[in-house]
Amino acid sequence: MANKGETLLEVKGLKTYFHTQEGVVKAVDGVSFSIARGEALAVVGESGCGKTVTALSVMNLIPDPPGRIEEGEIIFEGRNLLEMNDREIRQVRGNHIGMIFQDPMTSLNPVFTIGSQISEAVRVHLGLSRGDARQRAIELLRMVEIPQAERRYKMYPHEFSGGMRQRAMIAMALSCEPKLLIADEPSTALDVTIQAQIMELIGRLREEIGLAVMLITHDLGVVAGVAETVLVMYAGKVVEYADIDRVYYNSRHPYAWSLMRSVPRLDEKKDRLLTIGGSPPSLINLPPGCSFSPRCPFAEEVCRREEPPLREAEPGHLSACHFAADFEQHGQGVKA
Amino acid sequence: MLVFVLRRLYQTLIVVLGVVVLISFLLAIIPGDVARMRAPKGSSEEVLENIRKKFYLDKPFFTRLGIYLRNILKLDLGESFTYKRSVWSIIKESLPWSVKLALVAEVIIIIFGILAGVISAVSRYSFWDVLVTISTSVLVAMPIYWIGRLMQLFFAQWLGWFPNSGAPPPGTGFWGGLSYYIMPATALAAVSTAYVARLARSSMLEVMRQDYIQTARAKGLSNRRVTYKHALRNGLIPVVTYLGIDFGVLIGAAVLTEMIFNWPGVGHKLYFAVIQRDHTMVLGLVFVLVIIVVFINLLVDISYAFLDPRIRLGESPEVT
Repeated sequence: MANKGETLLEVKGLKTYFHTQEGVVKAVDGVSFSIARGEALAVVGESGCGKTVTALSVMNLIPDPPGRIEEGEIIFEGRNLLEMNDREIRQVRGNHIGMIFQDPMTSLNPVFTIGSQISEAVRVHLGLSRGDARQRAIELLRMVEIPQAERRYKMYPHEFSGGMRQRAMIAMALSCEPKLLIADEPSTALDVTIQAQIMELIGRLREEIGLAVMLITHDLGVVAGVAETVLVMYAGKVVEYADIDRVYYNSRHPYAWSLMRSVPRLDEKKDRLLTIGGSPPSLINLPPGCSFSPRCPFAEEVCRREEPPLREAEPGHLSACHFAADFEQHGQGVKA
Repeated sequence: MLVFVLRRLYQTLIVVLGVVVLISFLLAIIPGDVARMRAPKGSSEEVLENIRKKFYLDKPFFTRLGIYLRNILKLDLGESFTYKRSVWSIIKESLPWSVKLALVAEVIIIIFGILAGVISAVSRYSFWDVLVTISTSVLVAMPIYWIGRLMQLFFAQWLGWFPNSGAPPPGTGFWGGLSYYIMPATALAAVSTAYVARLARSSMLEVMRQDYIQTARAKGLSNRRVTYKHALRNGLIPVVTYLGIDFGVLIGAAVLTEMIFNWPGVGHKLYFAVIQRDHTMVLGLVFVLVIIVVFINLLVDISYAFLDPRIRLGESPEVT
């Protein structure tokens, strides 16, 4: 948990709902977390658990309608982003918080050159002249290890490969030296080797410029190398929140525990990969009690009746499970 | 690029040839004795025979076609039955009027069509959006001869704002001349404006959903910049295609508008040429119009490369 440095971003009780014709989708329902300066937080969970919506809420980029941030506070450097007007929030976006997206193939505008798209943010936020912005963009392209930066500056997105585009996206997100980088599944759409390169790049840049990172992913393998803290989300809620080692080796929530068990490992001999049965619940009609209870191998009567609060299972380790305190024994017992 | 243009020019040749053959055939099967229509009433059989000889009407269809095509290669479009002048001279007179009218109409389409489309896309489901949706539906459904007549009734007869019909007489100043253009150009532009508005709206809505628009917002750009720089450039690609193709149509298919407003353009000439079975005139006009339309389409295709960098003309698509 974040108790290392000074807090950079603090999200408190965030609720982002989507008002659709079928009903209200509680995409993010009471999520709280914080990121210290220079810290890397991984937000983990299955598709549709509210990871991306959480990230977009921080940027205040939820499409409205149908989406709306109903409740909560997003405090960045002491100021609540949700109370800012349009002009103020724009100065935070791209300037203090940079964001990169899942699919680099579609996230760059096809009709403008890579260079002009990178220098645009610099010109808008830092007020650099055309020439200075160009110089800065070329530096940024070098920083993200794009060879022949001058030549690449003038190229269009379709002339870049997927990995190169994601590098360009990172260059763009970091162009104004933000304090926080939100990376929404930055390597999901890429080849495995390129994935590793991109994650390595993010890790290196973190160290070089003291960047805090909010890494959204469903790939636990990616998390291990980069993040210090892990936030596990399920059905719009935080189910476990702790240091990476604790979540990996001493999970206190059956969902997070199953997630860790479903990662193939080279050092363990197993015939079959453990999977989590069933599928995530509809966010319109959540089951009563714990929303993971229908899929939980350890669920008991109380789980289907009462929703477990998020509380400390041990110091600095939050879990939303009725049996968090003695999950290990509980889990082992059922398994045996 | 050069290969592309050459290939297109070669295709143009086939299109023009096809159209000339088709029109010749249609003219040949229209009932009515052309010679009898040309000659004064009660002319002798000898006179009729002379007329037929002069215009090769006594020859079989394919011979006639062959003669015509050979003359076209020599850039000779023949002489008009009705005007007793070369078809070239008549086209030279009337084509500028049609082009000017089409240009004014195109300006109206670009300004009002794109503006209405973008406004209704940006403020979707607002009052303006509903207004645009309804008025474009109405506009598309109204035939041009009806809109034209209504406009003449309101703005010329009752209000007296614009001249009822006709082209500006020689010596009219710019603004005075423009007033002659307003009504016919508006009538000519009406349907296309409505269509462009709808096309621009749906295209903009589509583009606004794209990931790169979110990227642009995440960069901290203003809504204005996101809409008018990042979205519009992409959203206009299909609109420009339509505008280009439509321009050729505006020149060539303004027959109704030119008839209603008595505009001395090629549409007007074409109408009378068909009515009076003026074969050389019809063929000549269609020939020139086809070349214009095909040429404009070529320009549109070339302009893609500038609008959309992903398109490189005449090269095989890049493998990424």
